[in-house]
Amino acid sequence: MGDYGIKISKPGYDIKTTEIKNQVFNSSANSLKIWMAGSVNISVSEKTPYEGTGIGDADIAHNLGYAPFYLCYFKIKHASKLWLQDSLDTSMLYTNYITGTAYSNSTNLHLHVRVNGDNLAAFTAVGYYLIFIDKGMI
Amino acid sequence: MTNYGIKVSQAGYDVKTANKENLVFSSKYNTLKLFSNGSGSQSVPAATAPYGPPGTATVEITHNLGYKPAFIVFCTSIWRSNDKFSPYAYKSIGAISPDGGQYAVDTTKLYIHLYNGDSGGARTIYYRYHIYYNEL
Repeated sequence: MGDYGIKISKPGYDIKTTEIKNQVFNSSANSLKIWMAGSVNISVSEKTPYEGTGIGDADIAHNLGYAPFYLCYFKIKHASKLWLQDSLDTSMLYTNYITGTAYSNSTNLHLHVRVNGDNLAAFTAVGYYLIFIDKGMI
Repeated sequence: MTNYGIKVSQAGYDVKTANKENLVFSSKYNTLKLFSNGSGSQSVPAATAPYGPPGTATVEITHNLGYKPAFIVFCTSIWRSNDKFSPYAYKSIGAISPDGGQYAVDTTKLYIHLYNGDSGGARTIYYRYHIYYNEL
């Protein structure tokens, strides 16, 4: 028996004939599987003209042993909007802004927040993350 | 019975013994579940001056999920051809005019903020988005 598995089509498509792009699930195609999801507070240091870096970092240990695929979002702690990684908080845009970035390695997901501008007080950012079982690199 | 569910292994792996990273699917692990997706284009006005504040436009996509959902957005850039989409928004430290888009979500909407750093005229930026049921 060489042809077996599970296929589920979208509404309106015949599962026996429709292409994989019109299927909700196909056991012959990998699906991103969530390993960990959560949030973490990130303390961002004061940013002054000549002192202070205006950065904050956090590590999330995932124990996968390889660099996984991930999605991250950031916000200022009491803000309502969550920003996709590498986006900027536009409420501060033009001369002052913050941005959140991330990378994964074999042990951690590393979150990094940087603020640009001067005379900005320290604040708390929050990073939200989805870490997938699926490898982010070969 | 406490051990039940569905597992599907990748080709060449025995589903009874395969490691989790060699599974196509396992009901033990959550997956991204698509709530809505779409695409469009938006005209963005010119920057007010060379190297000055960029022109901006915001596209709002209502989801009304009542919580902040996971999402991803790709858009074109005024500095690249319109067949090149990226989730990345570029603004280096010290730069003034950002390029591309910034993306945010709250409990009711997805916000796609688009930027035109070119003072030469309005530009059209194309975008694609996925909103997932998964709560952040």
